[in-house]
Formats: sequence, structure tokens, C-alpha cells
Amino acid sequence: MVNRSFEYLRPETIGEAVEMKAAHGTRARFWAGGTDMMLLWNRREVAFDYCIDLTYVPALRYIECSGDALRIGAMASLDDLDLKSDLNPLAAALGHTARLMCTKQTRTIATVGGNMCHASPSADLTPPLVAMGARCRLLGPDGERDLPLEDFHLGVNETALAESEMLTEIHVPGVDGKVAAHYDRVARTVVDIALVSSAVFIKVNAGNRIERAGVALGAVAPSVIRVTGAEETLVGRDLSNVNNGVTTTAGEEAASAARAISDIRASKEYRTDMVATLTARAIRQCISSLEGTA
Amino acid sequence: MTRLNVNGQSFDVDVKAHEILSDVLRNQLGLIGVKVSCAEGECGSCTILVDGVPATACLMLGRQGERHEITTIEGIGTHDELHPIQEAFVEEQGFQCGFCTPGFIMMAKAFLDENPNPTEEEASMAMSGNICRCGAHPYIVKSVLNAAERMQGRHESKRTTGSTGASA
Repeated sequence: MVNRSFEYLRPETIGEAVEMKAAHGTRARFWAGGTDMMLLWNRREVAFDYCIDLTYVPALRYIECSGDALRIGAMASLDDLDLKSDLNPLAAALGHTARLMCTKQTRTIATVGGNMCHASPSADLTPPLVAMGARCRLLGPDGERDLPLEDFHLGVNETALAESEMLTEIHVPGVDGKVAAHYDRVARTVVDIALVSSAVFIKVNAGNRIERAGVALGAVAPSVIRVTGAEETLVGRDLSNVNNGVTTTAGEEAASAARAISDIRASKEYRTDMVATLTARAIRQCISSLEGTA
Repeated sequence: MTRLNVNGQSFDVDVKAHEILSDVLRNQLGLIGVKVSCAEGECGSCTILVDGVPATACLMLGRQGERHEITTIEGIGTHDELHPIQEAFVEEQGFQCGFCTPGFIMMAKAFLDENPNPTEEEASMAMSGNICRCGAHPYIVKSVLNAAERMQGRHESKRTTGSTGASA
């Protein structure tokens, strides 16, 4: 076998990491957790000359509430999400999602930022984050920009990152007060990737009226789908008014927004039906957690 | 040179940038208790502890072992002085071929350090990131519960010495 290697670079600050990327351009790739990158490299599905290892940049690894926002550093691990589940109801939903992903001993390596940048259509964290209205912060040599997560994912393994930009943070603004989120998926076993998935986010005002709702679907299109029809079905309703009729309607909205395909793992029809079921269930789950805290 | 702190000892190793930590531990340091089965982070055979936290060594670069305390199965017990978890696996027969066993034991160590008194369900869930292809999972869960008792000093061995003709 022909020797194939790369140069290993180890920045310790965000500034150094961005400088290294700017210096080497497309010949360099950021190595976050590396749990996808390692496989891509070993299968020769990716080529680069410089590996910029971000695991020694402590400033990128945090999960915290500040002001009205939940902030997650790009290098927070999936296990960190699990361990920070007590932070607030949204962190709890993300912790629950993280526990569905890979295995404990791989969650300690895999990162939130890596999961976002790999941009897999079935990435479990994308639907809940998009439903919550998450935004991402990108940093490049010319400065910082901030965009909605759904605009960050352009397609299968494609992101809005410019050549020398890095993802530094995922943040979810405006989530103080009474909020709930729930994500679920259909998969054969715990280590499988999602056949289809759905996430719901609900925020209610002091009078328990829904003021914001988010519904997002995974694995039914090249990138995450936000279901505005289902969101509109929910917004403005009193919590006590969200009956089975409402959850069914929202589920139907989700099913009609899905653009599922048939493949070896499931049929288009099955996926579409399950989108409706998962969405209705996730809404009920949010409602019951909000009623618990109401 | 890459400095690796493994099982309480410090090693300076020549590690190529693309080399995988599990390969470095096995081939350069001779720590063949680190087993590689799937090499894709699915099976848990290569589980090691990095600063006490379980990690699949097949998904880490060798250089990423630097500035951490790495523990492999060789670091927790010896042939003459087994770790209580190892004793528990022997007693409960928590294996058949034994290939996956080091990974299970390292995972059990990380788990029991965090949750010294687990329920059967918790133990089963904690071991779900490791695959035993012989199918010894029920015995492995028993082994973990047995190990928890041993580590808390409240285990009575099933092996009765000096008794004859006793039926189990």
C-alpha cells in the first residue's frame, strides 16, 4: 500500500486554528472528534495534507446558559451534552438525543461541531437544534458571521463554510422561560443511524399560550426540513387546547413536507407515515413536560 | 517524538501523523490487550480510559494520546493480582472466546467508578457500547454486578472451598 499520511497540526487557541486553516486552505481539514473523519480517511474518501486537530483548543469546549441563550462550543462532545442534561429543558432534550447516538465510548470523542460539519442528512442533533431555532457562529480570517443552522446545511455533506472558516459555536437564542423539546427517531438498534426522525420545540408564555413552535425532520431529504405548516398549527394555541386532533394535523403537515425516498433500509411510504407518528408523539411529549412545569 | 503516558509510565514513541492510537498501543508499546475488531467505533473492543473516561482507541490518532493519562487492561490488573472486575468476569464466566473481554472490562471500570452500585438495567445499558460476538451478554451483565459487590467489599465467592458434594 502506498504510504499516505498528512502533517499533524495542533493549535491551542481559536486564533491559531483559523490562521493555520487560512495558511493551508483546501489542503487542510479541521479534525474535531474525528469519529467520521477517521473512517473517511481510512476508506480513502477524503484527502488532505494538513490535519488541524482541534481537540487541544479548550476555548471551543463548553455548554452553558448565558442570558436567554443556550450556547454550545463546537468541540463539546456528545457525552458532554449527556452530562449537561440538567442545565435546562433544551439541554435535557439534546442530552436525550445524544444518548441515542453511537456508544458511550465514542460519544466521549465525537463532537457537536463535527456532527454539524459532517452534514449527514440523518445526523440526530440537527432536527432538535433546527426546531429550537439554533444558529451557528462561523469564524474566518475576515471576521465572524452568524447564520441559522438550517442555512448552514446545504445538502449531503455540504455546509455553508467558506474555505478558511471554522464553526465555533451553536447557540439557541430566546429560550429562557417555559420551553420544551423532544426528538425521536426510527432506527433498528441503538447504534443505527436514523431511518427517519422528527423534533419538536415549544415555548409558551406566562399564560401557557404557545408563542413559538419548531418542527424539524431528519433523514427525509438531503438536509433537514423545517415544517412551517406544523408550526403554524401550534402557535397561538393554549397548551390545554392541543388535543389529539391538533397533533394529528401537525403530523400530517410533517408527512406532506417530507420528501422521503425508498432504499434498502425502508420504503418511502413507511418513512412518510412514521414522520407523522413521530411528530405527533414529540408534540405530546413536549406538552406533557410543559404541563409538568406549568 | 510523541510522549504517551500509559498505565502510569511515560513513553517516547515515534508516531506517524495518521497512525491510529490503538495501533500505536499494540504495535509500539506491545499492549495487545487493546483489541481491534471493527476499527470503526462500533464494537468497543478497543475501549481504553483516557483520563478515566472510556474511549474507542480506534477512532483516535496516536498523537491525540499526548498530555493524557491512558489506561489499558494491562494497567488495571496483573496475572497474579487480578482486578476485582477481572475476578468477577472469571467467576461469572462473562466471556467465551475472550477477544472482546478487555474492552468490556475497561468499560465496566469506567462505569463502576461513576456508578458503584448499579441496577441490572443500568449495567446492561452501560455495556451496550461493546459487542460480544459469542453472545455472552447476560453473563457479562452478571459479571458487572458481581464486580460492583466485590469493589464494595460485600461479595461472597460462589466457590466454596473444602466442601464436598455440595450441589449449587
